[in-house]
Amino acid sequence: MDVLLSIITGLLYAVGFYLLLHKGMTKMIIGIMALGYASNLFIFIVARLTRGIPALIKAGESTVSGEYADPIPQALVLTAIVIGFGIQAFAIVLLRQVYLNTGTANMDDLNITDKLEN
Amino acid sequence: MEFLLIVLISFSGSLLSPLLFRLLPKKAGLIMAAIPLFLFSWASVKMWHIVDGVVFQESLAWVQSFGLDLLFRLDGLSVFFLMLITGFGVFIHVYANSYLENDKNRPRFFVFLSLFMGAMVGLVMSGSLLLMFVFWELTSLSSYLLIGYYHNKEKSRDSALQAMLVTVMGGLFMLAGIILIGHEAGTFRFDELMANPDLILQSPNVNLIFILLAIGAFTKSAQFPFHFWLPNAMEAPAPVSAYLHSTTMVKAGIFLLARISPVFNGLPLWHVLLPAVGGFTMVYGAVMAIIHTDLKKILAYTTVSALGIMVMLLGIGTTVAVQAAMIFVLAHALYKGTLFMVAGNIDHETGTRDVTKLSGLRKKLPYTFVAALLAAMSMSGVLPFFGFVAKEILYHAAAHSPGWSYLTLAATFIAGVLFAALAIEIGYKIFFGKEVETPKHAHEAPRGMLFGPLSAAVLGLVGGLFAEQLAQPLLHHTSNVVLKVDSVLKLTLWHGFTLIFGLSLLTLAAGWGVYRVRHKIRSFAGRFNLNNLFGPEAIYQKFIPTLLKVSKAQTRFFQSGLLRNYLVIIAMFFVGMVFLVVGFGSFDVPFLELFHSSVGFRWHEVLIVAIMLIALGVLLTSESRLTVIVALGLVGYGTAMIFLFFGAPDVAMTQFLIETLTVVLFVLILNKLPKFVDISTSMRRRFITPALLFGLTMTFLLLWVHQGEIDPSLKEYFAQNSYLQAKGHNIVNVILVDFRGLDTLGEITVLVVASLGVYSLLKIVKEDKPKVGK
Repeated sequence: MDVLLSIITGLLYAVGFYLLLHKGMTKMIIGIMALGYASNLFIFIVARLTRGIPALIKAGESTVSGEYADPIPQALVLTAIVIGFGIQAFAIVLLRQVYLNTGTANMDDLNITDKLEN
Repeated sequence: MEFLLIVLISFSGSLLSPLLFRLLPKKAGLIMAAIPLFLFSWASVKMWHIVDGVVFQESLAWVQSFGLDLLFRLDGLSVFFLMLITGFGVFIHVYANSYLENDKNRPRFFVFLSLFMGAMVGLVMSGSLLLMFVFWELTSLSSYLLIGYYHNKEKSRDSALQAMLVTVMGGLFMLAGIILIGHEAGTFRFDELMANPDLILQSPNVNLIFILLAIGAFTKSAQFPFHFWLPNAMEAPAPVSAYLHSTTMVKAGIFLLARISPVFNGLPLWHVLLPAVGGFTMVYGAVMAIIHTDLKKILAYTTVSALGIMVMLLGIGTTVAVQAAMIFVLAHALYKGTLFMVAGNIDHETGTRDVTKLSGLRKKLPYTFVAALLAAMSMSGVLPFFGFVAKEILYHAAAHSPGWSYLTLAATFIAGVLFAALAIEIGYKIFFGKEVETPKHAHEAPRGMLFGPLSAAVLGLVGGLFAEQLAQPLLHHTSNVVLKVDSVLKLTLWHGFTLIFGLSLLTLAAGWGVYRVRHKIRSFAGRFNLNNLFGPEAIYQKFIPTLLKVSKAQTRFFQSGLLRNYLVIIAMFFVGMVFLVVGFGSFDVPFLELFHSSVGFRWHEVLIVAIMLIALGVLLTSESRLTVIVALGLVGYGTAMIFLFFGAPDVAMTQFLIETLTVVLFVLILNKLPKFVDISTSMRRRFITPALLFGLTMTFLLLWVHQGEIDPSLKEYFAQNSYLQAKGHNIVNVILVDFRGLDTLGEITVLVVASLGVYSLLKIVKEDKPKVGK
């Protein structure tokens, strides 16, 4: 299963990156979100998958006994999801304001500061 | 601490200058002259110990990982240069105070001047190559500021930039040499290198090291073909020319060569490269000097020539040659420093520096005349001036150089004759003869501008008369440091009627002859354009625009202004690095076995992945924003399901929540979002390859990591301690709020900042839509 998940993660990366390369702002936002899923999955999968055993300590016990899922990537991914949401929300509003104020949704029109004067 | 303090004191004027000029606008420069005066006295006191054979060293730890310590060394060589720098520092401070009397930027000038002096003091007192390099670059920088002092003049800025680029380029070569020395010998310290020259001499790279260091010295000391910055640097105010470009900074290269001489003297290349470059520069500079008529250009080219003499002498490397080099450093500083200040006076008071337009100034500038006459006599090597002493020993050294003695003697003689001719022109022609009208009505310069030149000129006379008592003890030790042996230096004014004395007389006579025909030489040379004929400067002038063009082209390439190009470059670089580091065929386990060792398939999981795949397909093909957002939501829920299946219920819950929020947010502002901008199919096709490569690399990385074992210690630590230490049953939660609580605080901060950003973005009132882009 982890091979299949590795493939879908790579695919998500590819889709996210592909969308980022587009001119249109909306596609870029979607690309950013797809990259976010990909990265979360990456962190999750890279630490090995354990099916159905959350990292919980049973009531009455003081440590875990037996197999359990690695809690560290879970903690990292939890943080990443929330921060990712913050970034997405900010990016959506930012691009919307740019669009409303400049009248263009084409990233290729927004590169004056990067142009060398002749 | 004492030595560090001395270096800091020599920089202190940079800080004091603005304040002092505010308090005492007229006298601040004079007060600042107390700094070099103090340093000079300190050096003189130290000199008496050094003459007794003491070598001072002081070390303070600094950047130890680079082997860079604040290691200062004061021996015969450094104390000699230190006295030269600080002694002239006094003259120049006093001189500049008057010279720039009506210049409102004076405080700034003294800031730069002091910065330079401090850098020079640090340079000569450095006990290791690396520390010396730091100060070396600082002198280049302060020289840039000083040459470009008249920053509103374009020529001045160009010259400053040229001087800096040339010397800094040389500095880079030198740095490479220094690093190689550190690599080969394991030390940058002069004392250790001098004790074991074989550390370097036995290295297979010894010639390379020497050439790299020599390029540094050649650029700084204006040797052919790097000399051209020095005549151009004459755009600087006169005190700068007198200080940096005749007495001190240009001697830094000589100082470097003298410093490394105990190590490299004996290397065959040393005895070839230095005499060849120095000798050629000597003749070339003298010839260029005679064909110019701008007083400062003449002085600049004679300085180039004189520096050539010093390089040649160090390259000859015999006892007498090294001694001659050190004596000549002093003699040259005394007369050339004077003459530059004289040139400043003439320029300042008459408004012109063209020697053909100047004559009969004797009565109008009597004191300047005295200084010029004394210095010119020393320059031409007339008895009993110090210049004579230097010229005698110089001829002696040239005549006794092993190998090409006739050639060196002949070349030295030519330079000597041209020096004499120019000295007659400066010391005699300008001041005698009939008085002519000058652009400004000429009158004597203020006292502050006479103190320096007169003192230095008189010292040139006293130094000659009392050579044995004054110069000999110090220069004896200076040469011994360079030679690393205890040699005998005997300076006497009068050797009797020797062959060398005859040559001296002949030099003067021939000099007079050249002086008489100088107009013919000049008009003859005017027919060729000598500057273009020997044109390293032409190369520089072509090189700089080309460099700018190339840099512009490469900037345009990498910084195209198109986001996608940046992204592709970044991603492809990453892909390249991954395959470079990990390698392609580095799977220890056969690929198919990965399927067996994995956790196995469950059909409901495969179904989720299939749904995600379909959603992705829809996402890529749909042109409707709503459809795309729904598809994206599906992908998000799919990820959440995967988290759920593989033991991460908390993550899954968060993901569901956030996913819902995102979709809601999207739908809320959907009508405000721009429609999709179409791109051409050809472009779309071009994106597919980098995107697939990037995705493949990530998949590859994931599978590659799966081959190995993961260190479980962190996992076990949290599992062991989450209840015992933090009283929590859910390990993930405990990590978030307890073990890594600060991270969570950071996360909350990010969210707050993001929401503040969102809020303020929404507050932006839409103004008139400005036209953007094409």
